[in-house]
Amino acid sequence: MSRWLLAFVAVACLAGLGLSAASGERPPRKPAAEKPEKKPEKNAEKKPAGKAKDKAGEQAGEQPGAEDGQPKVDEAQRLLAEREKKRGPTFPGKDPAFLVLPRASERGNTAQTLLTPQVKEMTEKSLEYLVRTQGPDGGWGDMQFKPSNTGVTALACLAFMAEGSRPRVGRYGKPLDRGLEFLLKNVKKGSGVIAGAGSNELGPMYEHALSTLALLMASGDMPWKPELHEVIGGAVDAIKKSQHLDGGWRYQLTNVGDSDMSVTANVLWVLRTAKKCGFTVPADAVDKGVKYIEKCANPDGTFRYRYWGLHASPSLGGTGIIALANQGSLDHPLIPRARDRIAYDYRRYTIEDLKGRRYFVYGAFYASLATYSCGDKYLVPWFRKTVDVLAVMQRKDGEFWDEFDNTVYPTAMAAIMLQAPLGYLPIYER
Amino acid sequence: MRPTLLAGQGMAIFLLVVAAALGFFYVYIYRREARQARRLTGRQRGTLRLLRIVVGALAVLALARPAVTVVKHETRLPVLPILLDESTSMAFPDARDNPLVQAGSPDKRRRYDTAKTVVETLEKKLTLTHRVKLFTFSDSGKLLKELPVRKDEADPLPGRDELFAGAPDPTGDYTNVGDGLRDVLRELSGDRVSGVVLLSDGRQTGGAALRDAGAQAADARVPVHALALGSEFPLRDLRIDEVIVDPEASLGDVLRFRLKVTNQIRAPLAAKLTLYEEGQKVNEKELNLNRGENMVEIATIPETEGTRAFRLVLPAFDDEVDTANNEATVHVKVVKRTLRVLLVAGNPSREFFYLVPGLLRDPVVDLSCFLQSADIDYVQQGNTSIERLPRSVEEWKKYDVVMLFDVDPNKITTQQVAEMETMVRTGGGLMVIAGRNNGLAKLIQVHAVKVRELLPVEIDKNALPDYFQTFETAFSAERTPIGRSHAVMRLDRDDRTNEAVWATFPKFHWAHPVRGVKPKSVVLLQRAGEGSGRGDCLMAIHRYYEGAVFYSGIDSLWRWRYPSENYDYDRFWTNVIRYLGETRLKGAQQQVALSTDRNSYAPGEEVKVKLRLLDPALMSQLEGQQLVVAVTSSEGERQMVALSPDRSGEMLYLGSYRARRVGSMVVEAKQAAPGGSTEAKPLFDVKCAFQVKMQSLENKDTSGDLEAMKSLAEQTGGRYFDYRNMGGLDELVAAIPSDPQVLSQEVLVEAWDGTAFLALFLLLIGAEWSLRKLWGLL
Repeated sequence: MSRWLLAFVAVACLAGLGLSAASGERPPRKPAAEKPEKKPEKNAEKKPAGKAKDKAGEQAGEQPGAEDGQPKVDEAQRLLAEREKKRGPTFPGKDPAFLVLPRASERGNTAQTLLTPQVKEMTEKSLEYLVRTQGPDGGWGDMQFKPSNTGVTALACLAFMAEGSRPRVGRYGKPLDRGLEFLLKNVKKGSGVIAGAGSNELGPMYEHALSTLALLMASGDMPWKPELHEVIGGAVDAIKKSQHLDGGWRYQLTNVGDSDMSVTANVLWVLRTAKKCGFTVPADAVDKGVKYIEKCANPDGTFRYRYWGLHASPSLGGTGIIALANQGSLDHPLIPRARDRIAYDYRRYTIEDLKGRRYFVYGAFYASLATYSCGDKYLVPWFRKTVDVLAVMQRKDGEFWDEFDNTVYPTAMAAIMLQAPLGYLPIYER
Repeated sequence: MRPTLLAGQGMAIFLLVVAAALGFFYVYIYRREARQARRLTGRQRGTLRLLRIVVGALAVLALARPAVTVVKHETRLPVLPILLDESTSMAFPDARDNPLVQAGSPDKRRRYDTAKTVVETLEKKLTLTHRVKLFTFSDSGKLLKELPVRKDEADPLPGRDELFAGAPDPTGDYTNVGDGLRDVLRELSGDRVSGVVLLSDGRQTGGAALRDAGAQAADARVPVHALALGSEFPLRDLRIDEVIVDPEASLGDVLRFRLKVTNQIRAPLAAKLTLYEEGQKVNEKELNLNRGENMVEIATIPETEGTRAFRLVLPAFDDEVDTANNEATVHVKVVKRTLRVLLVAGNPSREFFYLVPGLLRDPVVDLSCFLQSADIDYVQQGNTSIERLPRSVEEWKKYDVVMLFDVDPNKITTQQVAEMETMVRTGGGLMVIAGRNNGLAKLIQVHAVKVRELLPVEIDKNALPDYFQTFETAFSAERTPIGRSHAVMRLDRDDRTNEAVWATFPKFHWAHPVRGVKPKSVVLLQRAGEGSGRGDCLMAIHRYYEGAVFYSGIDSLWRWRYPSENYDYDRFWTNVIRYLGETRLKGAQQQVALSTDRNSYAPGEEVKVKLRLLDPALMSQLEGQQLVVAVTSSEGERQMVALSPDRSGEMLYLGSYRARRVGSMVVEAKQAAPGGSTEAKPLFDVKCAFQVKMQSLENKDTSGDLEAMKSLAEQTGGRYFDYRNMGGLDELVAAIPSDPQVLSQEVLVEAWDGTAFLALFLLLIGAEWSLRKLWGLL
């Protein structure tokens, strides 16, 4: 059994058995009446979520065209934004996956505010770490996933893409190109599965899903790979074929057995991206997957790893939101609860608490996707807190780590989320 | 008293002769009466002789006309003329800051009312020391009333009605201050004039120059005390001069109203502009207006089709000369109209991810996507999903704008390209975005002729993409001077903000190579740095017959999503789409603005017509073309006016027209596309209107000419008062000298020509005769 598999099994088990509660992560029944945290932290904890906007407002003078500290608002843009906000997200075509979200009412400066010199430096170091750790085969492995693993490689590629690089174009164009080449080399003929030697023996669905996602993101920028469309088509078909009867997916690329929410959310994410890239995905496959996610939801905004499980895993809040949103339902009734839950967690717990969480970077990565889609009100405080945690976690060479001393995939995930405000990676969607 | 004889030299000789004759006569008498006189005593004879000599002397003296010169002195009060302007401009409200206005009743705030108050104030004091004469003037000075001199303050004064009975209201058509002043000086040339009090707004409309009249007063040593009414600002008024709005608007899209607002209240003026649609308030905006003309904008999104009345209202302020002009109503036809856009993309690149929702967010765009690399059974994205590309000219013409984004030339036929070219030729818009997947060289190789014609840039058909090349070096893009002002590149309506936004955009790593730019193309964006030439073009546009083509050699504009996410990114694409689709959206290109230098003219005045081209590509397209505008009167009389390009290099065509007939006139600029099919489908068709009407000179400038009044006072040594210090009229009274006028006169009195002289003469003759009778000589 590979360590990659073990890691995710551990996440699932911990979530299912509710061990998180023993580690102090179990949330109170009534969050509103919760006592303050044990060790309030300077700066981080003194800033309630509501103040984040104020802080951003204080820096409005830096915004282009701002006068007297107030950003100039284009009236036409404001009117249209108000109208669209009233109307909410819409999908003009036939598929709800193609959401059109309301426009911003004014020229925001969130990205400039969040991407502080500290964040830029952390990002720079983490990307350089990824460049240094790229294998001679173009792929990346990790402590638990040796030699090179397609899932880890896909995440590293996405980190470079988040910087704005494209294959053979941009600052990280070369390592990105080599990474994508590695993914293509590991496509299994016949099955279409993208998983190489370092993959999980229990099932390569994580590797496959993340690799498919990375190739989808690069599919419009690799003209020298005319077979790419076919490769991705095969990969999507493999996913479609392995949907379980309960509507979800799990490690193995087979339609037999039970599903889990983490894998299902990742797969739904890939399927939606595939639809946007011109691949045909049956609507009922997505519908069934979303129903599975709904079954895993708890009333308090948390999600269970398996729908028949008893306890929730805090790491799955973000995955739940993006899975529900992937159906095109940004107004899904479960989303506000899950969103508030994430906001609460990051507000309540100290840096040390969060840092000590199991698979913190993994959970934060999905939370970044979720909070980004929920708007600045949720993204800004979450991002600042997460940066504080990541700043403590980052090592001298720029890498991040997890409990098993994996450093590459946490570094890639951290780099992606640190660069989210740039808005260069379409997985971050508003 | 000085005695003298009035008889001349001839008379003196005559008198000597008379005296001699009398002497002989007396001798004769004495000799004849010598016998009789002997009986008289010597005293009696002596008495008679004396009487006769005296009578004779008196007769001679009378003939010599003795007279005396007497000097008489007379003391009179000096004259103070008050010269009151009674032109119609005096009916305008006076400056609110004038203390006399503030003290008066609200319904008596005309300049003329202030002048009356001044006259009344001066009358109370000056009639005790001066002979005050009240004159009015418009084109010439006329005595209105001479005020009675009062002995003391208890004496009654004439009331205001009595004072101004001859001129209760200002009615004069002119303000000839110079003429009025000269007339008064002439009228009072024999009097001692202590000074002239001039009450006027000073805004001359004709007559003698004020400076000349002032010189005349200075020569006469008559100080002119100028009391300026009104203020240096035009009349207090807030008005909407003009509302610029498209006559037609799209349902659900932003409808902008541009207003020319004139603020003659104060600076700055905070006012709320409210927009009503069919009586319902739909928007309001706080304005901060400078004095004079201001351009303001307000917008709404019409949600109901049909002809809708939009009323724009500004608040009324105290003492506004006209509150009716604080609002304006315009009618706009709201129609359900969309821009049909077809996006043909070769591959799902990152740009495609962001571009599609950006276009879908535009309420006017009806988007159909066609992703060439998609599965065969794939449901294409967009508002209107399509299953294939158009296959006939008619099908292509259903779209207003076509976007070719790094298209695979093998998945579009030459026939389709030709049909698309026809669509552009007849007014459609085309956007070509070059990408790294296919490049434009391939497209030209496959569909050479039409694509080459359509593109605003020259592409080397042999420069196929080098996929093995890595692009790690970043380069900056900069707008060309034309690009800086082009509507497509405008990301904010505010200039400073727009510049600041452009300064924040990150660099690029790849751009499609360009060999050159076509002669009539306009480059908007190019590589930054020295040596940038036409081969470094990144974005260009050109007009293609009745349509337009936009080229972008960058396939990673998504980098502009930093720092403001979709805000500027979406706007850029919206700008391009609307630019390209404007012909279809508005019926004609609106990249021109037609205007006249004023809205209203008097007959005979020159009307300057200005046609501003907003699109450099249009300017290039019209190069060498003769442009004319038609000026049509309300009776249908039409006159063509030729326009010439502005020599300063601005994108302007200028012409002039002499206003002849009174009435509403419409200027229309309608231009067919060079090489276009017919004039029935013009390249642009814009109109503007102006009025020709009889205009009173008095209304032309409603501000007071305070400077002229001040200069007059300084020139003549008089005092100057305006709304700032008119409360200090006591200073004026004190400054006017009250020295009386002393008149000296020499009077010649003839001494002989009186009853006393006659009585003496008769008495002496009678006595002589009586004595002779008494003494028996008769």
